[in-house]
Amino acid sequence: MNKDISSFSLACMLLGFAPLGYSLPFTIVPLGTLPTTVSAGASVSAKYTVTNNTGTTRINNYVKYLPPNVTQVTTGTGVCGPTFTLAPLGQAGDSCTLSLIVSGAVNASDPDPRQHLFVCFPGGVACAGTNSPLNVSLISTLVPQIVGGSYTDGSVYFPMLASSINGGSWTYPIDSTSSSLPTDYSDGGVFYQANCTASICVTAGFYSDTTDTYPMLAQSINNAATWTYPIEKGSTLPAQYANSGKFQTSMCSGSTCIAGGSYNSLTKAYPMVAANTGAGSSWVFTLDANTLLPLDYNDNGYITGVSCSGNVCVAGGSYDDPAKNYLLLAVSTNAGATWAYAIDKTPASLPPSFNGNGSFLGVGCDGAVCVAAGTYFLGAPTNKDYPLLSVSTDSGSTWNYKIDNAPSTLPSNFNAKGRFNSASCNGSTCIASGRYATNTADYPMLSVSLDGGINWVYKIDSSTSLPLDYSDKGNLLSTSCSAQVCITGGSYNDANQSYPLLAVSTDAGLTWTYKIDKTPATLPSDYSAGGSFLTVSCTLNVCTAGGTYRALDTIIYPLLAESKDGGITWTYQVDSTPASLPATYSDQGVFGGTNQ
Amino acid sequence: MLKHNHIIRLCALLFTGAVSTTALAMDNVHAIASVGGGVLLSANGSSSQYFPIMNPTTDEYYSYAGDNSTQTKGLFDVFLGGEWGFAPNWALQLGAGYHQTGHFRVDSTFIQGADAQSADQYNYDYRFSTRQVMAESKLLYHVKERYHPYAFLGLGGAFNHADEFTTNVPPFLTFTREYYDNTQTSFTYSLGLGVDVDINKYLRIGVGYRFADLGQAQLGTPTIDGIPVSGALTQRHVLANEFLLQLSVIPFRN
Repeated sequence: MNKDISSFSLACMLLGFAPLGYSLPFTIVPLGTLPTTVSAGASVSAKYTVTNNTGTTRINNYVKYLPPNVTQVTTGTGVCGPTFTLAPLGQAGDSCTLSLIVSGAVNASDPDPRQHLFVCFPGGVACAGTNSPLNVSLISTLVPQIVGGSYTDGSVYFPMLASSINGGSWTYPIDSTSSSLPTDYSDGGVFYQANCTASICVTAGFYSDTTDTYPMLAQSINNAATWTYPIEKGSTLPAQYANSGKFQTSMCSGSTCIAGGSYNSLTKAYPMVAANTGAGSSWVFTLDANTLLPLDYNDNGYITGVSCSGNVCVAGGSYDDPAKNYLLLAVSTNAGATWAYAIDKTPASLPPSFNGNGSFLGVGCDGAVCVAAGTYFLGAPTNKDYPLLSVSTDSGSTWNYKIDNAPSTLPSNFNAKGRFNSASCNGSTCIASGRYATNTADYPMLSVSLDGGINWVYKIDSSTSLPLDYSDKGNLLSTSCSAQVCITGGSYNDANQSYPLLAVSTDAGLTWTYKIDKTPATLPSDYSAGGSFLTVSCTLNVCTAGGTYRALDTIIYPLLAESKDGGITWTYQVDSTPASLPATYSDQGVFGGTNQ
Repeated sequence: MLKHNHIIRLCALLFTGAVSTTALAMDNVHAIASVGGGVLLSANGSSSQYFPIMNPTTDEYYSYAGDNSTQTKGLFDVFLGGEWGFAPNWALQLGAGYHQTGHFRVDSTFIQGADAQSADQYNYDYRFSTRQVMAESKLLYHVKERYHPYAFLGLGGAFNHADEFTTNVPPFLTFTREYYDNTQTSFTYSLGLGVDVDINKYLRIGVGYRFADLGQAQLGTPTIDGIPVSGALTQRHVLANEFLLQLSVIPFRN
C-alpha cells in the first residue's frame, strides 16, 4: 500500500493563495499596528484580536502554533490566556486580545504552516490563522555598553558612568564634570548597576546635596549619546519621602525599566521601586510607602534585586514586621505598574524552618523563568545562614524553593555562611552565584540550571576546580547570561592577599573556566592587591566585568575588563592608564559600588 | 483484501495452466495471446460524503460534493489463455487478462466549518487509476471461417489506486482533512461484445465494447495537521465503458 503523503501543500502554493475573506472558526485581526522591525537583542509587542466566529460558546481554545521568535503573553486584562473561552459571536466576551512578544525576525512567507500563528479548538484539528501575518525584519544595532561606579578627585566623591558605543573606545558621559551631574550635586554620588537595551539605557544609585541624600536615576534614549536625570532632587520622589533615598539596583528589558532601593519617611524606612512601565521616558514610583506593602509591614524595607522579562517584573529584598525580619519578593505582570507579593511574611510562601531573618539579594528573569537568590538565617540551635534560591517557571505566578537548608540542595561540605548574591537567566540557562563556608574556609559557589530552573547543579564550590592558588574568602558577587555566554565575577584570596575572579562559560553554563584570577597574564600589569569584580554584564556577544584594584602606586583604580567575542578573550579597557580614567581622577575608583 | 487478490491470481493461473496442457493434448484447442489498447470512459457516479461533528468541542464538519463527470482515458489490455473449438462453428476462449488505465480525476467542492456561520467552501481533487486482473472468457461464433463475433465475460479483481489529494484551502489560514494515497481492491466484472477477424492462420485483429464495474476508489487515512481522524473518502462503483482494439496470436495452430 502506498504510504506517501500527498504533496498537497506544494500544490496549494503553486495554485497561489486564495483571496481574503474565508469564513473560519475564529477571526484573527491585528489590534493596532503590527511591528515590522525589531532590533537585535530587543523585543517588540504585537497584538491581535481573536474573535469566536461560531454561534456557540467555545471553551479551552488555545494557540497551537506561533512563528519562531514569537511568544505569547498570557496575563493581563482581556488578554487570551494559555487556554481561553469565548462567548458566541456577537455576545459580550466573544473575543480576547492575543498579546505576543516578538524577539527576532519573523517570516510571513515561511512555507511550513506550523511556523505560522494558529488558534485552535481543543484537540487542535479545527483551527484558524490570520490574513495579517507578522513579518518582522531584524535590525542589528549594536547596543551600547555602560558601566557605573564612583571615584574621588581627592576631596569629593563623584559618580561615574563609562560607555562604549558601537564597540568603540570608552568615554565618561557622567563624571565630575559639573554639567553631567544632577541637581545641587554636592558629594557621595554612586551608580550601582547599568544596562542598555536597543531602545534605552538606565543606571541608578544616589547622591547628596549639602544636607540630604537623594535617589538618582540617569537614562539615555539615544544609545548613550546624551543623558538626563528623570529621578533626582526636585523630581517626583516616593510617597512620604523625607531623606536617605537610594537606588541599589536597576534593569531594563526591551523598553521596560525598573529600579529598586529604599528611603526614609519621617518615621520609617520603606522599600521603593520606580518604573517607566515600558511606556516611555517618564518614571513613576509604583512601590513605596503608599502602595500595597507586604504582610504586617513595619519598617526597614528595601529592594536589592530587580529584573524584567516582557511585561513581568520581579523585585526582591527584605523588610521587618514589628518583631522579625522577612523576605520580600514582589511581582508585577504589567511592566512594573502595580505589584503583588509572592513571598513575604505569609507562612506558606516562606522557606522551610524560616523563623525570621532573610533577604533576597539578586533577581534574574528571562522568558517565563524567574530566579530570586538570597540568604536566610536559621536560629537556635542551628544558628547559620543558608543560601536561598526560589524559582518560578510560570512568569512569577508560582514559586518553589530549589535551594534552602535541605542538605541535598547545598554545595559540597556546606557548613555555614551561605548566601547567593546574584542570579541571571537566559533561554533555558539560569545561574546563581554567592559564597559559603566549609569547616575550613570560605568558598565561592555557582549553581547552574540548564533546563529553565528545574534542576540545579553546583559548577563551582569547594569540590570543583578552583582559581590559581586558592586559599580562602572566595565570593562571586555578580552574574550575567546572554546568548551562549554566562559570566560571574567576584574575588578570592591566596595565602596572602586577594585577587579578582572572573569565571566564564561559553556553552550556556555547561562548563566553566577562570579567565581572570591570580594568573599574572590575566591581571593588570601594575596589580598589587584588593582586586574584585562587583558588576558583570553581557549583551549578545559583548561582556563587561567592572570592579576595582589597588595598583603598585597604592592608588585604588577602577577596573573594567571587556570581551567582544562571547567571553573567550578579555582586555582591560579601564585601569590605571590615565587616558582610561574619568575627569579629575584621584583615587578610590570602583565600578559597581563605592569605596566611600 | 490481500487474500482476495491472491485467490483471483491463483484462479487465473490455473485456467491458463489447464488450458495450456490440454492444448497440447487436443488438436482443436490452441493457446492464444492477445494484446490490445483502447479508451475507457468512466462515469464517476454521484458520491457525495458528509463527515459530521462527533465531538462538538473539537470538531468541524466536512461535506464533500460528488463528481458526476465522465472522463476518457487510455486503456491497455493483455490476455493469455486457450481457445477450444467445442463445436463446428463455435469456440470458447478461457484465460487470464490484465487491464490498466491512465489516471482519472475526481474534482469537486467541499464545505468545512464548526457551524453554518463559520463554514466556507473550497475545492478538492484527487486522481485514481485502475488495474484489473480477471478470469476471462469469449464465446465466439465463426462466420465464413474468418469473422468471429463474440460475447465476453470477465470476473476478477480491480486494484484502484487513489492519490494526490489536494485542496485549495490556504495552508496558513486553516487545516483541513488530508488523505494518504490508497489502493483499494474490489470485485470487478466485465461484459462485452465484439468481433475478431483473421488476418492469417496465426493472427487475428478485433474490436470490442465492454462494460465494467470497477468497484470502489478510496483514499487512505485522513489526517488534520498530521493528527489521524476517522472517515474514508470514497468513490463507489466506478463504472466504465471500454472500446478496445485487440491483436491476438495463435502460435501453435496446425
